[in-house]
Amino acid sequence: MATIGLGIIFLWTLCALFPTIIAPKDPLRQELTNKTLSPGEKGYLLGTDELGRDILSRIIFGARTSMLVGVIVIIIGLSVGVPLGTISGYFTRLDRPIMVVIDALLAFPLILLSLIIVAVLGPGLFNAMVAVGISSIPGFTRITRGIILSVRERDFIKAARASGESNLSIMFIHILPNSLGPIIVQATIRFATAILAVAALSFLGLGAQPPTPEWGTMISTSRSYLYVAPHLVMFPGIAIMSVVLGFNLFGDGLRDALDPKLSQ
Amino acid sequence: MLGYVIKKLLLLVPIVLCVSTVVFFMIHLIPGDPAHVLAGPQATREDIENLRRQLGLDKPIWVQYFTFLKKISQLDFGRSLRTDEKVIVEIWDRYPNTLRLAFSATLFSILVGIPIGVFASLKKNSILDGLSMTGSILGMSMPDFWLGLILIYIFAVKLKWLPGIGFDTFKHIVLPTITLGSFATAYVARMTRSSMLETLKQDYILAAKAKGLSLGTVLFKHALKNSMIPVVTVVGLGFSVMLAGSFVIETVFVINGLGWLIVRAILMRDFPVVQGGIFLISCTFVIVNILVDIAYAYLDPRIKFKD
Repeated sequence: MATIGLGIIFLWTLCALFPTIIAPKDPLRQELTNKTLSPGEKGYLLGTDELGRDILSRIIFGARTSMLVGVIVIIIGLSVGVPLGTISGYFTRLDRPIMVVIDALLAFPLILLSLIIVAVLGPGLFNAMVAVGISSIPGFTRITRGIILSVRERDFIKAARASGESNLSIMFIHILPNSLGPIIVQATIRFATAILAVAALSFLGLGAQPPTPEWGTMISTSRSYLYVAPHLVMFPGIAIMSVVLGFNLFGDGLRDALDPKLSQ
Repeated sequence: MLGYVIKKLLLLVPIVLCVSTVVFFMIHLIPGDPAHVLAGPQATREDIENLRRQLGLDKPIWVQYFTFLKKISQLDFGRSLRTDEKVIVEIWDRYPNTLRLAFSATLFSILVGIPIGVFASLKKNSILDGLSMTGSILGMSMPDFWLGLILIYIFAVKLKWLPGIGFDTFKHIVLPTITLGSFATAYVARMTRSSMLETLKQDYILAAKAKGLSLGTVLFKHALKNSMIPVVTVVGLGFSVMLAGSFVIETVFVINGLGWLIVRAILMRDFPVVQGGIFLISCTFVIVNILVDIAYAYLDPRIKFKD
């Protein structure tokens, strides 16, 4: 299952890295004489949208946007969440105040936190990515803290402390590298939820704005054509589902591989 | 138990205060001059200054804060910048629809997710188990707004069995409920399955079977109740997620709910409505989480002593 997931991720990463080579046409080129063509008509494999743009090309270019979303969200989440979780897990006095705030934030679903941040920053793809990224910080903090708490008491850490190593050195040279497994699993699964979250924000008009080829925006702008040209809505949705499935399968597999004792 | 409940309910006050503070500061975190941003690019200098006075942004921040807290305690969130209607009226009119949707989706996830999970755990590694778990991982990977549109296409456009828009009758509730509840159903099914598998391995289940108790008794009297503890937590939190998810579903099915109002207000930069709506939704989350904590303590009394 994890291998299937990795395969799916690999295919979409190729599309994200080389869209100009893989996509047959320009995703922004409008051909108003070829509006809402069905899949297969006039050489358009997946048909065209309401402005005559090739859907296949827009989906391939959309992979770039989606992968970028995942990468930026993970970078923001990890770069703040992991150090914060490490500090919280290692220094008991700082743990309580940090976790009170983190637990309060974790009570709120990702989409709501993201919505609040977008409400402040304003609609836009970059703002949506920042919003989802910031909203991911509490999750990473909590996971990291949990691992640090368990690794902290191990013998090799006590030995490092006894030999006079500084706290900073112990935290980042000894503890953190031994804690990476669950963090990577969380990052993989968060990649998937980030894509879903930004697609949802874009669908609402709060994320990517037209004519950017982003899958959520494509579904949003095609809504009014659902009755006559459902393929406009179908294909971007299948694209989102396949990427998210890929990351979910891979993340599940990673988690099982890292701790085979855990049942699901 | 009563002491635990009171302790949890008393937490409401500081938490609501924190939520109010966050909601208050939202307007001040807007990049640039909030009054200018909210007035829009076409606004004149006079419009901007009028808006600044209307929103109280011309006063010192601590005055603004206490005025805000005082007004919130009287449920006064000001007036909509677009319709000039009182914000509390706008949000209160739509809140029941959102609650109704979230509640029915939660119920759906319980009524469908739990049986699937129980069934899958009993038939572990069978084809049916594989199918239901594959279905659930697909359900968790699917964007809910897309599922909603697909369901509208199949059931409203092609088959014409159900309406695709609105929320007036029971028939209207079906598709939004299935759409909103799909992710949670998938998650509840997986969680129930793994929880049941863990419980069924326990010694007391073996003892019950050895005593000669029927499968039904073992299942319902012993296994299910103890498996339900993590599931209750998931369902309770699921209600919160459903409330948030309703923002998107209300847009898909054109339901006149609070989520739809907040999204529109964000798009039109109608900040008083955004603040009022976010405040109400946040308080709802907090209350639901506290109720989940209390339910959890009821199901597993050991929890009371951990806090």
